[in-house]
Amino acid sequence: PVDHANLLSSASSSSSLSQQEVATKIKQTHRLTVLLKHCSEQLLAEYVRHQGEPFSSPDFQPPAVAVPGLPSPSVPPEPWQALSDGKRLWHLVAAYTTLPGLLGSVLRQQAELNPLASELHRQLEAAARQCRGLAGNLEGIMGALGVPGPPPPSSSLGGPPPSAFLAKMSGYHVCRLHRDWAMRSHEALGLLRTKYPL
Amino acid sequence: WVDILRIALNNGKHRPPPLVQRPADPAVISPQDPTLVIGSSLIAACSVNSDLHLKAEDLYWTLNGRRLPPESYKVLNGTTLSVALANLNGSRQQSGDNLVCHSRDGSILAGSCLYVGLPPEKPVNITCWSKNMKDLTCKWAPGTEGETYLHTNYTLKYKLRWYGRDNTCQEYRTAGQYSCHIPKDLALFTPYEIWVEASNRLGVAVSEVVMLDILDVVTTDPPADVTVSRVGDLEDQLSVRWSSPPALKDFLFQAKYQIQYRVEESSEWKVVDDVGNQTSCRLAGLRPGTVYFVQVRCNPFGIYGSKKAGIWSDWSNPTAASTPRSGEQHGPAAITMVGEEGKGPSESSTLARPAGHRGGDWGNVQPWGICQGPSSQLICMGHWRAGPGILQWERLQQGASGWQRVLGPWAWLPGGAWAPSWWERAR
Repeated sequence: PVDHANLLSSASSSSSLSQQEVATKIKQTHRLTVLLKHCSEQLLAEYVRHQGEPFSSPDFQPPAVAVPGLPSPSVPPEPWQALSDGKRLWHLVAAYTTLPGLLGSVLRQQAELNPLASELHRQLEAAARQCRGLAGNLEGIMGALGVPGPPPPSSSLGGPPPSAFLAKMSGYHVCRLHRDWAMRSHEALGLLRTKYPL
Repeated sequence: WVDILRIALNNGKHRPPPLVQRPADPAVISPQDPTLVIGSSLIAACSVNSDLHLKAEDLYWTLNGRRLPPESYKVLNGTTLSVALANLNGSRQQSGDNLVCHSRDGSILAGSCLYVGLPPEKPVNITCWSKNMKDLTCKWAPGTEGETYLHTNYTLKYKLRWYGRDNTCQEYRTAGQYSCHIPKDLALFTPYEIWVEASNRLGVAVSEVVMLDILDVVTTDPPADVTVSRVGDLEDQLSVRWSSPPALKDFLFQAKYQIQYRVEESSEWKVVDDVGNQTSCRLAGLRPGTVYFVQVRCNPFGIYGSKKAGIWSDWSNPTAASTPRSGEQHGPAAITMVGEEGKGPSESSTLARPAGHRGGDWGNVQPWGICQGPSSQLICMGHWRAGPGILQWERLQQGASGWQRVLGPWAWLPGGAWAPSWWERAR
């Protein structure tokens, strides 16, 4: 990825939106991340409620080992803070174009494991929709700032259906990832807002 | 140990244990996702990946978060620990009980979901009805007083009695959890066979077949335009009128109607059964001065010459009306006199009472009511024996030469009756 330290200079030369329009878009997107933060917390709570103990106990400690087929968050917290805005946006877009597919898989699995949990299904569907919306907004901001985006995610979600316990576990990881990324995107957009005030 | 596992399991179905571990899995539990009948026993085994350098003695089991006693464990080999579960209860959640294998430090190595329950029982009490002969809705009951603990799927099927294939109903839960709606393509004058199949992981159960002709289970919309009105001044009667449901007006049937009514404060409905097929009825024996709620429903009896009664429609939306009341007012009634500030009587010098009643009988001489307030708006309160209606008022005012009696205009009682101006302009 290209070093985007001089974001402002590249912005004035290659963006098709005015500074005002970019700042508005950033503000709107920041609001969207507030919604996602709230909804992703609710989704995680609703999810674990339906899987039974130990998932629903407050001190649930999932194994450190990655579940097969599921990408782990690619940038740990400290280096994340040190990234440039452009790089942060890049990672966010990569996450939010992958999450909808993962949430869709969880929905399919929960439709079999918990067929009567209609509220859970509704929240999973809403989460996928919100992620797609956020990805679109972020791509718009990247375009306005002249930052190239990541390649579209590979559709690697095929493979044999996992056992019920593995499905519960991978669903937990997806929901938690979704929440973790919601917190990160909220932070990142907050920073962007201070840099591009209205 | 795979053979020991197969022999030890009773009353359960399970997939043969996988003999190959995926490279990333720290451990594997066998059996994976077994389905078992309540009360059965199970022996499960956890095999750790040798790369982890864990021993069987380092492992322990939990079921739904609760640690299982070490007495039930058995070391099968260096890297495999088994657990024996006896007399299993029904699954705590429909997604399955979580049987988990942990290493000593508490981290999760592997899990397997147990589905413990009962096979479904035959669904019972299938009842169906057709709205205006256009569709069919059926509902049923599950057939177990308790739970099966496993998710049970219900399918309603139907076919014409003497020919045709089985059809499957598609729109579920339209009239409660155990119901289904068939919206179209239904034949009249010919019997249908209808049944419900219940299935879960442990088996299938089929209800008895119900046979019916659509024409025998017809219901319709509630009667329209229900109005409830007083019968003149009669204190104990109300008159109810309605029109027959429009959707069935072209078909031959003799409608039967039923009325139910209750007073506002009670939840007990009184039913009038012998209304026949008229579209009006008079309720009698009611309490005076009381608000009543009234509902009407319809039964499309004898449609197309069917010998059976139809099915009663829903009750119409409640219509409210009150019976008239004569006799003593409960609590104070008030009359307001409006005038100009500074002109007209002051509160300390005015009394008022009704002095005449249009169109009704008049009780004893009325007591004076006491007036209060500024002269622009005097409010006089009293307990007067008078029914609702138009009254003539008189005013008693203290003047320089003593009390003067002044007759005033006609005004409506009860409460808050309003006389629009002073009875006399100050001379």
